Amino acid sequence: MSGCPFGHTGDAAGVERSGEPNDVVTSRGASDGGTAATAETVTPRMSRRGLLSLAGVGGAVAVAGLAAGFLGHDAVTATAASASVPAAGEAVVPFFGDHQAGITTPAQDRLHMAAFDVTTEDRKELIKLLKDWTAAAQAMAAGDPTGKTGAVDGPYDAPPEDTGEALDLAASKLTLTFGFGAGLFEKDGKVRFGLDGRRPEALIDLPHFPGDDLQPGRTGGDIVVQACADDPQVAVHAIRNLARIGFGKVRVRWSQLGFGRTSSTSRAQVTPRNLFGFKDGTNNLKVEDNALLDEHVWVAPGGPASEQWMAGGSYLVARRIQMHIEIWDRTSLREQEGLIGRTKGVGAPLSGGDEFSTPDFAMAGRNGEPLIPMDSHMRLAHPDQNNGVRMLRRGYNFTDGSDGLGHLDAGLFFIAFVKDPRTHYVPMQLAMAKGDTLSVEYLKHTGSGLFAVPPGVQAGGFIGEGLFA
Amino acid sequence: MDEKFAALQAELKKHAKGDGFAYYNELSPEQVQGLASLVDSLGEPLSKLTSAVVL
Repeated sequence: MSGCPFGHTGDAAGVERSGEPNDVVTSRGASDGGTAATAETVTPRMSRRGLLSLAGVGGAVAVAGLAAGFLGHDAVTATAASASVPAAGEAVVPFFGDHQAGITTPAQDRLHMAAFDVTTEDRKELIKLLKDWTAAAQAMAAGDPTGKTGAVDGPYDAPPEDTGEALDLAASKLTLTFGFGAGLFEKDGKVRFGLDGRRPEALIDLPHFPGDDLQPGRTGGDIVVQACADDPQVAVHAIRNLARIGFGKVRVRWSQLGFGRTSSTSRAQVTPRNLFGFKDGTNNLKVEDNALLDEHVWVAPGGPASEQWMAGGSYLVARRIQMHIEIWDRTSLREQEGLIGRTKGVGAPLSGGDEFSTPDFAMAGRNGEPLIPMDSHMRLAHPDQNNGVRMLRRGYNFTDGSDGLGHLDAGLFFIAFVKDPRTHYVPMQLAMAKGDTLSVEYLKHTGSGLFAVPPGVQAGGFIGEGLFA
Repeated sequence: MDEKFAALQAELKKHAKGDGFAYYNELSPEQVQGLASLVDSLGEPLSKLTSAVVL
């Protein structure tokens, strides 16, 4: 965004990181809120995208006139060039693709995740819902309102189709990722929707882990939707409208807001920090690791015929991990670093180097003990200690107010995508729940879910189509 | 919508007591959730009724 000649302030921080992967279409132009609002009054039928494009053109033309007067030829050329493409905050992540968006998409800043119980038992109604959701998700990812008439262009005596709070906001890299829980296939011993024998082997019932304190109202669900965007209101709007479309067929079981990402999923992103104040996700799988993604994240084709619909999909593990942050805050820096196994400032392994240095688990200090303690979080989570398995983590910091006792109800909403939770999640979580002092003393798992995430949707298709073929 | 009305009426009937209904605070959270879900199922299509009839 350098060289923008008219003090353009619409660039959300982070939109213009270098090295965006190809699947993210980053676009730019003027997106000044005032300009957009003016445009709206004269063109009420424009979509959000069209609106912003128009504002871009109008603004640019006006400024080009001014600029011609005193900035000279270069500025005019630059302005004219930017007029042909829409706003910077408007980066759109394509909805269609081989894999669903929102997995290897560089982690956006905000999360709203919702799990639904399916209340209908009618297969046709379920398929209709998935088709309606596909259409709405595609529109919202493109920055458009839901329905044919959107938020303000429908009949005056009808409730608007779209709820409207995302009008004037850019697409904000919204991704919507859908997954199916075990309860979609069978519930209370009964097969549902004719899906007899279609539940994938890997869609297990997660075992009880030591220290689990799962609340039923935060656990399970038949369908999950992960909405991620750089603008929190865009993410909330998406879940709200999907829930509304679903009334009578699904009911929200639980939902979770995440206010800040705790993982980077691209080398172009800096590593963010969790609420313990430590960098989180340093060693995460990244979008650039193609071979590793195939090995650890994507379900390969060639499984049993009943599971072919999952080829190119993945499994989403969600865990609401509450942190005892007040107790943590009273812990010395020495102990904090020992519990994590990394330095708090740079995030380097305690065996030395910088953030991305390979940890030396054998290196001992003067007292003969390993520099990276045996019970440290990093040691127990490291692939070397877990048969080389990796996961793609995509978690978010959350706070849901306070606990009524003067403490924050806060923590990390853990999200991971793996090709098989039996090999890529359960063993590691068992080891952590038993041996990781951090987990035992400072963390409590209060919510949980495991979902089969089908592959991406192609134009004309719908979410999970293969399962109903 | 007839079906959804019928479903709600059937659920309400379960809570009939004497000449009226059981008090809200006598219901379990699951029973309240069940009723809320049925009201929502009905409420969303019902909200479109006016425009469907008028237009």
